[in-house]
Amino acid sequence: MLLLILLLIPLLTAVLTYFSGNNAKHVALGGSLLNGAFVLFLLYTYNTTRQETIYFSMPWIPQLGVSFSLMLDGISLMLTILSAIVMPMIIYASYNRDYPDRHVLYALMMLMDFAMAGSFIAADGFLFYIFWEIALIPIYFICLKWGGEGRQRITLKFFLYTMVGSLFMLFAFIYLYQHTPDKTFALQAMYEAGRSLPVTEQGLVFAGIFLAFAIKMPIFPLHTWQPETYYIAPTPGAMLLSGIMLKMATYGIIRWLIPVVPQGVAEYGIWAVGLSVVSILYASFISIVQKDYKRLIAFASIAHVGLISAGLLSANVQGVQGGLVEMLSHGINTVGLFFVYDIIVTRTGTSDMDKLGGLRSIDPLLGFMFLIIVLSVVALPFTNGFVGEFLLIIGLFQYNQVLGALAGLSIVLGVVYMFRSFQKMMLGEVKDEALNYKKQTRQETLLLLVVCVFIVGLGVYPKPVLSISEKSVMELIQGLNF
Amino acid sequence: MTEIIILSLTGVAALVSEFLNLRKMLLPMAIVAMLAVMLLSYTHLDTVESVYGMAELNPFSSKFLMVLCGLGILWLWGFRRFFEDEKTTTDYFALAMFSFAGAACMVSYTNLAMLFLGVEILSIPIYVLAGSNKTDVKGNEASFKYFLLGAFSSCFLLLGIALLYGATGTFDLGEISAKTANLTGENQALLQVGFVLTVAAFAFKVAAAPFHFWAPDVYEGSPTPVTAYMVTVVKVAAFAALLKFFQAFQGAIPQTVAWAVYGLCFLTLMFANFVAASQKNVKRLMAYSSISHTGFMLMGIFCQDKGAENLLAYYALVYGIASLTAFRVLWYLRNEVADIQDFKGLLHTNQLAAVAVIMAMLSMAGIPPLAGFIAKYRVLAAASAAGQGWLVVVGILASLLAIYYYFKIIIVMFEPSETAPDRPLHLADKVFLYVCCGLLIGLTVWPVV
Repeated sequence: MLLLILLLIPLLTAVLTYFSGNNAKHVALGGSLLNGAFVLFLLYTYNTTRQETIYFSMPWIPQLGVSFSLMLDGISLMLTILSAIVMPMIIYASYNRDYPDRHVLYALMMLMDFAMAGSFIAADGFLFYIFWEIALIPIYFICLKWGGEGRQRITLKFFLYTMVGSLFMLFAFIYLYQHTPDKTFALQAMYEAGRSLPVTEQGLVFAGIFLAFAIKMPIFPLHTWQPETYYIAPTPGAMLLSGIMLKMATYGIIRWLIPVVPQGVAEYGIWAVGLSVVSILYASFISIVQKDYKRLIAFASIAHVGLISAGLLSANVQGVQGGLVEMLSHGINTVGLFFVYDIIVTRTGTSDMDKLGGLRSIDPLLGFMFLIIVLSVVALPFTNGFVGEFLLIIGLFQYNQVLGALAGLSIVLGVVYMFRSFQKMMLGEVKDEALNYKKQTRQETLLLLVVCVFIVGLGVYPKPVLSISEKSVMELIQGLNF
Repeated sequence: MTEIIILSLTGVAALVSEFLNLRKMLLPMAIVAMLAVMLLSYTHLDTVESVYGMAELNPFSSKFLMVLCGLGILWLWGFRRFFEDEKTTTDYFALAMFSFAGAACMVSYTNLAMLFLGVEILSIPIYVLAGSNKTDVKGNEASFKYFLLGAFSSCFLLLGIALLYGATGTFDLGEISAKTANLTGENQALLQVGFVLTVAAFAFKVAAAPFHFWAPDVYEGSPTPVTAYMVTVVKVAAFAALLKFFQAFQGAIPQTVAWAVYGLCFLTLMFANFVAASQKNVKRLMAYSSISHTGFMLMGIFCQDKGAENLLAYYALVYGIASLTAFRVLWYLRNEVADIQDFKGLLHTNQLAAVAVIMAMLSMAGIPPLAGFIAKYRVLAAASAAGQGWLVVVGILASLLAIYYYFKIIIVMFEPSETAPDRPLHLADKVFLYVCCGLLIGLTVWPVV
């Protein structure tokens, strides 16, 4: 029942938001905060019941073996917390921006929140697929309606690209479904079906499912939709895409890939890990030569998510735990990065870093807060980025030392591109575009402050967060019997 | 029995209403008749009633009668203005209702003679309706083309039936089914040729490639309401009849013939989607889209062994609702020729119509949470269960191509518009669109069949 409420809050908020006209932003923010409060309550319940998994199930389409089953364990809870934290931030970030038809925009955002929350707690393959796809529809329309130049072509490419992956995942799920003894999509049955397959078939299922996740994250060479889409997406859309949506894929690796075909992962996972590491290096190098700040964030996102993917697929406790913490951190940091973009671009009209400069001397507070975010992105100790990346690299190192070492380069390269962007925009001489630059408003400061508090807070004392998912991750890894 | 009588009587009533001056009563009467048939079929969902050995009202036919009546009611409701013209209203009604009675025969036949009668009763009124816009050249072309090719396919059907009779000595589907196993030599060959010819005739009616060439021209040239009728009621009835035919031959179809049917699916899916992607005229685009759905339905009914009628009924219902929605909005935009650009900016000029089209397109493209997804999913799952993995891949590719052209329409609607069509929708039409959208979501949440 609790889990049903978790889905109903965003869904009802979406409906309410649509009908609330000019008050849409307040309604949406209220709804997402309420959702946050409810997630806190769930966290409290979860911790006081000795971290018992919460289940909910009711029949849906029995003749197809589909049930409406939800499940919340530590892993799902982490992701739920992520979206509960990030969602209000995204809504608040667009508070004073002028979007036409904002009631529709916020309704779509809340609808997306609903779908993502659903995919994080679905315990039925079919249901997971449905939520996975529903999440695509609002973001497509957000980008199509409020996006920038060339949005028609780019959003269609984005949609088709993701659909290719999704459909192959669906094919793999159907295949698994047919190998379940009583023809059902239930999570445990799919696990058993997947594990009963011979290794080569597990490899094929692995390939099908990983394709969907690799496109969504994205991983080189399937990333070509991403920089363009981030670039044309309106700021809230870009935040949703990289802040929460791509975590559906990384979460999927933990829930719907590794435990489903453990032998397949053990046998062929090295290819996926290798691709992820290539992805890290490739995206980092591209980031270094970017002229546009928004594209830089997009490529930086590929690099980080590549590390998450590599760490998760190494399938050990450190890797998975690190991946979970990094998902949380990346979500928060990415919102910070995109918000800085939004602040700058609404004032100067450009995100070309060559045309910007010296913003710190005009607005020292922005410079300071941006620096904190940058430090976290480059995984400096005592920031949240460090905790996740450190664990991820440990996990990956245990899996394969060469790949671990290569992935470690991501931090060095990250320093290069992030500091370069900081220098270009914040330091140096003030350029023409920034002459009439206005200091940030109180609303903007507040949001960046929240981001910074999370960055430092999680960085200094990550234990409470790590302990949320620890038990579930241990159980998951032990259940794999490598 | 009662069901067919009710539908036929409505047609007769339409004929006599000209001199009894009942014109205004026709629409409510037809809707009530269909509702009555729907209710009757619901009560007959688990009874079997034979009609003189020619037809049988059983769970199978009742399901499809319900789907057909549901689509029929939506069609009458959405396109009621088609019947408004005082001069033609009774003729159109009579033709539509007789054609509908033909559809009822087709879903309930057990005798191949009855099948032939059903096909003809269904088709002949449509030949006339397709050309109902007498001054329109394209309409005339459509009517004539449909008639000629339809007559041609009837010949195939007749020849097929004759050969089946030659092989088994009976027109009765049940007896044919019982005899298929013990046929030898020439009779076996006759049976196979008869089967192939009959399926070819069906393939013509449902517009499966390579028997589809009439469809784009006829769909484009006919008045939009008639096109809507053809892509929904006619196609569903033909598919139900085809499924019944397939079921009679279950297990008796040799591998080579089965491959021919798979080839039909493959060709239909690939051809329709590739060609649709380059269409500029929305009616033609919808024609190819409808052909592509033919491919999916064909794949579903041929691959699913048990419960194929549930799969088909669900697919047909969902596909029918989405098509009716799309054609209704198309009819609202322009009465006849419709370029994709006519949809330009619809989102800003008429939000409800635009949202309805978006939902219809998403459903036809098979994207959750719309019911079209569950329909397509069932087809793909059936193909996968039948061990036809390659067909699943073909289906996936076809779906991807389909997304491309369905989204072309969606994208155009988001563009800013230059001209605002000032015709507001009637309340009844608004309700119609709301109901259709509601059904497209509702059938996912609660998939009835």
